[in-house]
Amino acid sequence: MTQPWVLMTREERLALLLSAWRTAIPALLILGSMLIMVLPVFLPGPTLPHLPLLGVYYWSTHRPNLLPAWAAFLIGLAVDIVLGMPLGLNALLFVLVRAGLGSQITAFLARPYIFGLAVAAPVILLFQVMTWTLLLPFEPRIGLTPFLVQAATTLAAWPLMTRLCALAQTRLVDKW
Amino acid sequence: MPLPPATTPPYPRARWRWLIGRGMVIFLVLLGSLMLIANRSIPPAMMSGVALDGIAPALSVLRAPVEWVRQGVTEVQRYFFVHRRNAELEKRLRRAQAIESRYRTVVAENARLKQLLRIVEPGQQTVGTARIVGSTAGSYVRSAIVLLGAREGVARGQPVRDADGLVGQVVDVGQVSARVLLLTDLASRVPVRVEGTSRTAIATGLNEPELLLEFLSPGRPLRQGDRLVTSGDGGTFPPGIPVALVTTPQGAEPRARPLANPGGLDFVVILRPFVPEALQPPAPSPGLAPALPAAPAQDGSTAP
Repeated sequence: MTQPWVLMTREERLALLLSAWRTAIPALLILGSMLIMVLPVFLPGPTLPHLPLLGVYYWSTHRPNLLPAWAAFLIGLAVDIVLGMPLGLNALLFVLVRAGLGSQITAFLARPYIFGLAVAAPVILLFQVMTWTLLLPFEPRIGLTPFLVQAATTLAAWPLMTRLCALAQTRLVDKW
Repeated sequence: MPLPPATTPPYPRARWRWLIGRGMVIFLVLLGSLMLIANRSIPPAMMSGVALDGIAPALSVLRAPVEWVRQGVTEVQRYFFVHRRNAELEKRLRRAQAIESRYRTVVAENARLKQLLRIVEPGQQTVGTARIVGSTAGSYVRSAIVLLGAREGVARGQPVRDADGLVGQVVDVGQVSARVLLLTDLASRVPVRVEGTSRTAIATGLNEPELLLEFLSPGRPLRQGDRLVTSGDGGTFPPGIPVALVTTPQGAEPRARPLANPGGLDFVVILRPFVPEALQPPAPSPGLAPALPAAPAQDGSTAP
């Protein structure tokens, strides 16, 4: 939209305001996935996938302009508060994921589907190991195994979350 | 062919944008690290309360489909297992009737003896009944979010139970919602007693389905199926609330499975502490080290 606001007609202004919400879709999707994580579905072990991480991964590698570092930080803070994690943990790691992947976006262009999965595996594993390391000062007895289990379930949820994000991108975000 | 000048941002502007972007990432990484360091000493209790109040209404709406699915599955199960379940329940009813008759006699006798000895025992006082609207079951935290908050008298440290047994303890309170630390959380410690004996222990959460029994006092060897109830030590959990059943009695690390069924948690009862003073912070005494809390430590900086 190159036309200045003052030169727009009333309809054009309304259309611009209505289309602006689409830029918030990545953040809203990640926050929605965070709410799914706190639904009362009690599982026997730490088998719940880290869905917000998958959202950050997808939008960092597909449309990083719609998920700036500050947005990743704020989403991370929300995840910390809602999940009851130490404040700043996910915020810090989400910024690192966003900065690391967002700067390599050209490497993801025109790559096959399996490439995304192949990159996601070490990223998710590293994220979980870093989470465990940062949590050790808070709870020295915490074991690494639950984090590895969660890494595996997160990776298992990757195709579904990617599909959902891709659907949102093609149907809502890129339509604008 | 060079791009038209209008579509290519001038070099200094692009350089500045790049620099600001990098600067922002460094700033946010530093900010996140500082928050993590500060988090150890300042538990953001107020912030957690506000956040809980923010998401609790959304969760109470979102839980509806989950509830429908659960009800649907239960209905299907009931339909297929109705005969077997009926026979089982009839058997249990006959056994329960025999136990009930003995129970009534014992309760009456117990009341008479207490009256003779003039024993005054505080009863279980409830704060209220709450619906569970959310849970966190990640690799670090095992907690539940309930729709009852400070407005109704919920406070940090209050015990929470359901029909089957102890569920956990309140750790964060908002105005209309609260977070309950489940027994299975790594930070959970509950003083228990083996029912029918004087053996006591601390039931410790492991972020696993089972609890670890620590500091087991000497006495009769544990048996599989032994019931653990709250001992009342520390004054937080009222004595006699069922907690868990022993599953692995042997070895250096006996285990028990909580009786409160996490999958079926719909409504819970929030209780007042057995001894209300148990949750009061100890008065500062100069020259002395702060006294250990009588109740299991529920420091917000390390948990949930």
